[in-house]
Amino acid sequence: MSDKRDPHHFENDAALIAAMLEGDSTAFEKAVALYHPRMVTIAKAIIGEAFAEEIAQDAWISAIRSLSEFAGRSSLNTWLIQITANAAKTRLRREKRQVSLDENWQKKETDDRFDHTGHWQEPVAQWELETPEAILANSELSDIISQTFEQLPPQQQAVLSLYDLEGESMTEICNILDISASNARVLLHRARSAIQQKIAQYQDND
Amino acid sequence: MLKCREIEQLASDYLDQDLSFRQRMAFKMHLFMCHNCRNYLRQLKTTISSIRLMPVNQSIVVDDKVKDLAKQLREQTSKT
Repeated sequence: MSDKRDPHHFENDAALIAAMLEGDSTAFEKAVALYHPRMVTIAKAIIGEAFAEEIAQDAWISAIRSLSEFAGRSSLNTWLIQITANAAKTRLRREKRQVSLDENWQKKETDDRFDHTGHWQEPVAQWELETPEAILANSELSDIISQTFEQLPPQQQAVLSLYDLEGESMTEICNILDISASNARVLLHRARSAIQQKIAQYQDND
Repeated sequence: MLKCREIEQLASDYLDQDLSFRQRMAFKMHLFMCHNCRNYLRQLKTTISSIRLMPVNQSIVVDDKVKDLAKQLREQTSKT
């Protein structure tokens, strides 16, 4: 409602880019606020925590320098993520180190929700807050979801963001993160499951 | 016959329609008989819809950290 008075409001990617090309400081702030956390998430998923911030900043510099050539064939978000992913992969090769991320993703520790026969240990109840709207309207639950999301291991967070928040295809996600489809699907389920378990914990204790 | 643990592991693939016909049938057969797994699947489905509704784009925060980086990027790229 107050969008028109908000100095950080830009109608679309094209308006934001045009303002950035003119050196508009609020446009830079909006772009950084909106895209930098996503770029860091992608960089972390590829190269790990230590280099992620630096990679994202380098990606910004090269993106801004070629901003005038951005043809708008993809969204600005997708374009920035591609640049970040490429920068992270190049750096990974240069570092010549196998960065171990989200270790043990394939080695699932025993899941204590199940007994030795593979059945649920505890009955799974129907949730009292059963719709996403009801869940997000509960501020405590909504905070729990955001916090759990923030604390996910980098690769899980990246796959979940790309698939469920940004609607990227699995093929595209595998290309961006350089991971196999089966790996991506396991990471996606782990991430969703972590959030489902936190919501369940809250609803069971309520 | 799939076990509850396997249903849990396959649940995202089922919801994203990424199971083979055979797996899908086996999954449905288990669901038909197991109310715990039916509840679990409903929980996971609600979780995914909640994640997708998270206000990621609406709530941007322009704090000092953002302003500093934006300023640094603007200065670094305007010199060239």
